[in-house]
Amino acid sequence: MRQKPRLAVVDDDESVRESLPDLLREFGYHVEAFASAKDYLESPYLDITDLLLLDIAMPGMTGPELARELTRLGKSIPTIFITANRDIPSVDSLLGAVPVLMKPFGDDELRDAIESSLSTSTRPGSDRS
Amino acid sequence: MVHHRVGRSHIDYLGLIQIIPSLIVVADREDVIWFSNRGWDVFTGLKASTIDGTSWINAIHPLDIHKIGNARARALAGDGGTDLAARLQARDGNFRNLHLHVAPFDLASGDRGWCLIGMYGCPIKAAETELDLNSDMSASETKRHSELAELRRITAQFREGQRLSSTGSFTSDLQRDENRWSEEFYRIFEIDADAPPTVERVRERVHPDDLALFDSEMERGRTGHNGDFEFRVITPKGGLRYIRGIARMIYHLDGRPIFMGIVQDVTESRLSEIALRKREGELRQANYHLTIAQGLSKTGIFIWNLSSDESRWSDEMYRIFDANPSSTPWTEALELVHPMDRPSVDGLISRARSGEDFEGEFRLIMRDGTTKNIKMVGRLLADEAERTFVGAAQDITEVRQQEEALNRIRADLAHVARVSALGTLSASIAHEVSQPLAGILNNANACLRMLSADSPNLEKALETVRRSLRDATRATEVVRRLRVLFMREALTVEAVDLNEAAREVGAILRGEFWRGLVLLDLRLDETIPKVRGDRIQLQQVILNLFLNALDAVSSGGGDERRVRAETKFNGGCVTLSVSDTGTGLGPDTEKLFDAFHTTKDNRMGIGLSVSRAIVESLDGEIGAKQNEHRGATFYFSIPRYAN
Repeated sequence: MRQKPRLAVVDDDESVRESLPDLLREFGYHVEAFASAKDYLESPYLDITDLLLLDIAMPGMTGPELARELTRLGKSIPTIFITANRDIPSVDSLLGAVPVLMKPFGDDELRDAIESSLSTSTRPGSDRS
Repeated sequence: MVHHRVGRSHIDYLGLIQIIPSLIVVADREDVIWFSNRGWDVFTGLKASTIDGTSWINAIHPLDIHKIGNARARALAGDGGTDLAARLQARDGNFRNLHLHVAPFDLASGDRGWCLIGMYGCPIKAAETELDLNSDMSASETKRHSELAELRRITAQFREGQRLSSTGSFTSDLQRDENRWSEEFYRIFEIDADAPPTVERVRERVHPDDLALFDSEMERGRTGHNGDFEFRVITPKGGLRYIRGIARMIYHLDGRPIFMGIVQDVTESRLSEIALRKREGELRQANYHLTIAQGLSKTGIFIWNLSSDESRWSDEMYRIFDANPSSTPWTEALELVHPMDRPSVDGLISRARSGEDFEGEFRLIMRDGTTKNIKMVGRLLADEAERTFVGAAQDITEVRQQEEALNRIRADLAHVARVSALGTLSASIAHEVSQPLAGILNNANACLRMLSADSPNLEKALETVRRSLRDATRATEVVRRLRVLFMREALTVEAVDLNEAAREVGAILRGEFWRGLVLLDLRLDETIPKVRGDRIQLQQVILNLFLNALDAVSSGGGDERRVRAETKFNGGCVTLSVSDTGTGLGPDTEKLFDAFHTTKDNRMGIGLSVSRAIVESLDGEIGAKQNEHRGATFYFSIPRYAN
């Protein structure tokens, strides 16, 4: 059996941070949750993440800023942005064609987004299987 | 004969003087007779016993009195004697022309007096000298005498009056224009003493407007009518004088009326009378204006004497209290006082009775069922021996009604502002609700999967349910806060914890701040007392200040994106200040709190003006100042809640 894809959830809101990983685990993924961009950047999990579920509006470093930082570091991790705000003016320009999930979202919506992201991306995690 | 004041050593001379065929009278400077010789007594027929004081002067012809008077004045002034011709009335009633000498005479008392000596002229008939003073007179002679006595009395009165009142006197034969004027007469009309005393001289002085009156009075005089009239004269220097002239015909001389009279300068009394009349007019006018003003301002005025418990009310007082003007003012009026206000009115009255100034507001229930708001003040007059209050009662019903209307409008405006804020906040409200909803959805989905598994993980499923409950509660809390903030409620003044209010508003705006990537830093002093106010209104103020600060930082914040709210207690007031690191205040700091002043495109600009209205209605203060380094600080202070 192929190793479970490793997902990372970065969200400062505890409701999402606690509930989302449980659901994702029920989907069969391995999940780690982080409360801030900083926590994630300092974590060794950074190097083995297959897919990043990233909140946009966070105090300190925001989601898009984290995404840019990862690019700068040469780590192109597939990313799905999650946000409760529809009207952040810079979302589209910042994120381009990157998928965005609006909170609250249903489980099918979530699963489709994850599967589609995982299938179109290289899977660094599978190399280590 | 009068000689009781003459020294005995002169008795021989006196005897000689008594028998010389001359008339001699000695008088003091008050013209009181000291001595007359037998020659005088016999000639004039005036018994010594009837001559008292100055009545001897009655013997002088009225037209010659001034002549003798002027000579007398020279004698008393020490200017020596004067020879003159004048008429004296003999006991038969006829005037005789005599050569007279008027000279100074030193009285035995040492005072300067004067004497009148009839030395020459018409010889005194022997028969007259021998006339028995006590002999009977014929009936016609008696009548003549009584007429003469009357004439003398009048003459004496004029003379006395002139001396006492510095009134000018005159005698006139108007038909011949033959006049005698006293010095005072000349002075009053400012006529040269050398000028011949003619009516025309006086007429020249008469005010043009009074000439017709003057001429008609003179004409009346020529036909023998007495006169008493007032006219104005213009003196050569241009001065205006009011003159009262009184003339009385004293007798006919060869069929011509002879007048004696006075002219009195009544300028001063007339002017003061005019001034008085003017003042009275002004006073009446002022009183009239005051009455109108009382009506316009719905203010009644009263005076209340504590000692006698008597009051006087102005008309407006009666109108305000709808009282019958004939009634006893207070009793009836106080019956109208609203039952709820009775205790405070009783307090007002007892304070007044103890002599304290009073001021209070109360309601009246009028007979037609309407309510009036009355404001009443009373001040004890300080310099009054009697303890008297002067006070005013104002009908402020309209003012109170307008204030209530204003409060309603203010509440409406606050509501509009809140709703307007709601629009602005919708995105962050969505954010606030979306987060727990997302959690609930995730939990429910996870739970479903856990329970549907072949071997259900009940413990983990329970965990998701617990988290769902927590998130649902969180969403509910958001909705509750919004409902409280955006629902319009009647104002309630209560004790409000500003810290709690700030935390609540902070919670509502949490998403808004996060969305704007601005840190909301609450540094609340937990020892502050509660303040007096309406919680919703105060939250509205805090909301406005927070949003304002957030906007300032969002639009111009640099690296430090922070809004700091602090509370502190100082000087009986709790102050909440909100400082930001934004663009700072523009040049128009004065207008910051004006309605519809806004620098933002998406606001109605009423937030701060509503905030000011709210704070000021709670006797608080609101303001803004530029920060030293960056941004601005808005603050408001509200008095602490006192039980």
